[in-house]
Formats: sequence, structure tokens, C-alpha cells
Amino acid sequence: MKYDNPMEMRKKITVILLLSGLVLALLPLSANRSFMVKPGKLLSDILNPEVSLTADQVAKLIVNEDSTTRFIDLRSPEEFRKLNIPGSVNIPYNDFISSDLYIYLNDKKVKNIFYSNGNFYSNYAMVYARGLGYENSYVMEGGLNEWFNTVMESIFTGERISARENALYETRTKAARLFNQINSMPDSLKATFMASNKFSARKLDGGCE
Amino acid sequence: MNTLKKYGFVSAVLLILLLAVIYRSFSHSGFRYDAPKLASSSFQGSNIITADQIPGYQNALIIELGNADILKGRYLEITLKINPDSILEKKNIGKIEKCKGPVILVSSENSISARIWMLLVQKGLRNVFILSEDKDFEVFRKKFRPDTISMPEHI
Repeated sequence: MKYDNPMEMRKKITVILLLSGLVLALLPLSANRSFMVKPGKLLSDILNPEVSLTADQVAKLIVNEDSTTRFIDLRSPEEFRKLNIPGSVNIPYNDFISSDLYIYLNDKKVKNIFYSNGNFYSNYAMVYARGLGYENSYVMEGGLNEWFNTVMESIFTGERISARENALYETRTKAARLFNQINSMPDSLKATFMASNKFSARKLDGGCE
Repeated sequence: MNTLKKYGFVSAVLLILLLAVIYRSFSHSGFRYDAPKLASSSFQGSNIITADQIPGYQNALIIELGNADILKGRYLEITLKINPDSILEKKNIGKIEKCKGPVILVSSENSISARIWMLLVQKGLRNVFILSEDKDFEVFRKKFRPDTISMPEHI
């Protein structure tokens, strides 16, 4: 195909290239993989004490079987299999950072509480998720190490116990018992237990017939 | 004039393209693109250092976020105290950017250092580290003895 006027051809090619460049410039290349929240707001959010939950607060959520929370375990699958917070899901940290978080965190009604063995991965993940716009992201302070310090190894050493302390220790005991029961089961039974727990909850919702 | 008419359309398109590129460059609220890549230096604790490693770094700047006892009065000459809530102020960011060596965040709470670290790297600041007393990164320090006798109620 020959063009009578080479200038015309050059003009057309130029226009096509420029328009392609325009389209590329406007495409959201990695819009879902870059922080969207303004830095000042993100800083304010991540320094807000409410984004951190203590081990006692987590224990209460577990004992109450709070369906509006979900625990996300950022450790390796091997560590997760050995023990985990009852009801938690495992997303290893490296996978969490590399993935499209929409598949994990899109339900705005659910509070996602991150934990790991210590403080690093969980806090990175919380900031990362909030930066990408997932405001329903929280962290269990101290991770599993603190969980064991506070809940699993909890011993009352005083002479008298107040009503408040009594409630606290009761919650810790219940949470520790549940943690022990779940994590002491063989892997095959753990999966069945999780499924039966969900099934029985739905049965209760059915009411009398 | 004829030249302008000749290339007017192309110039207009170029100008729109330029404006679009400028918009894209600055539209992400002050954060850089590709959050996963920027966060990847946190894998396996490669962004964490201990106090005894500091002498090995040239031109380091230590940012003390609040009051941190971890340094026990050492390295005062290269330490800058900044409240976590003012870390993003221009003067503070400017000091961090000017630093030719590593920037080391230290706090009495690892969680604060970790959060500020993620925030700063996502803004594109490089060579940022966290000072930790603990050499073992994210290690489970407790012993769990499974109780194989009792069974949960639902089964």
C-alpha cells in the first residue's frame, strides 16, 4: 500500500503514536497496588490506639464467637498448622504483600485482625492494607508470643479478686481452653471441627419449627 | 503561522499527553507506585538491624520515635528525636532525604517503628531500617503442649 504523500503517512503514524501514549498515560497501570490514602490521614490512622487490639480483647472476641471479626495469620503454613488462633485464616506475609488484597479484604463489614509471632509482620500488613484503602484492618499487639504471655499462661497471684479481674480471668480461661482444644486436634479433625462449628451456628439461627 | 497551523493538532495532543503524565505522576497522594515492590524489603527481616551493627554503617541517621531506651544514651550525635505524628512534616522528611547513609528508626515499641517504616518506604524513601533489640525475627518463643485428652463440645 503506497501513500501518495509521505507526509500524510508520517502525520497519521505520529497521531497514532501520540494517542497510544495518551491512552497509556491514563491507564490505571497499578492503581490497585499503590497506596491511595493521603499520607497524613494514613499516619493519623495507624497511630490511633484503636487499630491495636490487646490479647485480652482478642480473647473476648474468640469467646463471644464474634462473627464480624476475622483473624489473619501471616505466618508460614507450617507454623499455622502447628497452632493458630481459633477461626483464623492463613495468608503468609509474602503472599499477602504480593497479592491483590481485594480477594481477602473486600468485605467491609468484617474487621480483619492481623497477627504473627511478634509485632513486625502484623503491623506492616495493617499499614499496607490501610494504605491500599482497607480501613477494616487491625492488629493484635505482640502476636502469638503476647497471646501466650497474657492468655495461655495467665495466673492470678493476688489474695482477693475483684469482679472485673474475675471476668477477665474467666475470659482468658475460656479462650485458652478453646485454643488448646482446637490446636490439640489432629489436622484431619481440625477441619471437621471448623465445619461443624459453622454448621451448628446456622442451625441455631433457624429457631423453633 | 503556517507551521503552527500545520503542527497545531500534534502540539495539542502532546500537551494533553504531558498533562496526563504529570497528573499520573502526582495523583497517588504522595505515595510511590508499586506498593508490593516497595514493601518487599520487609521479607525475612532484611530491613531490621541490631544496635551492634550501627558502627558498620557510614553516615547513618537514627530517628528516635518518641522516647526509646534501646540505645541507652549511645549514638546521640547521629540521633534525631521526632514524634511519630510529625514524621511527615516537611522539615523531618527533608532531613531524612538528605541523609547519605541508612536511616534507622528506633522506638520503645517495635510496632510503631514497623508502622512508620512501611509508611516511609511507600513514600519512596530508601535505605530505611528498623532497630530492634531482638536478633531473632518473628520467632515463636513459647512452648505449646497439645492436650490430647479433652475434646471440643461441638463434635
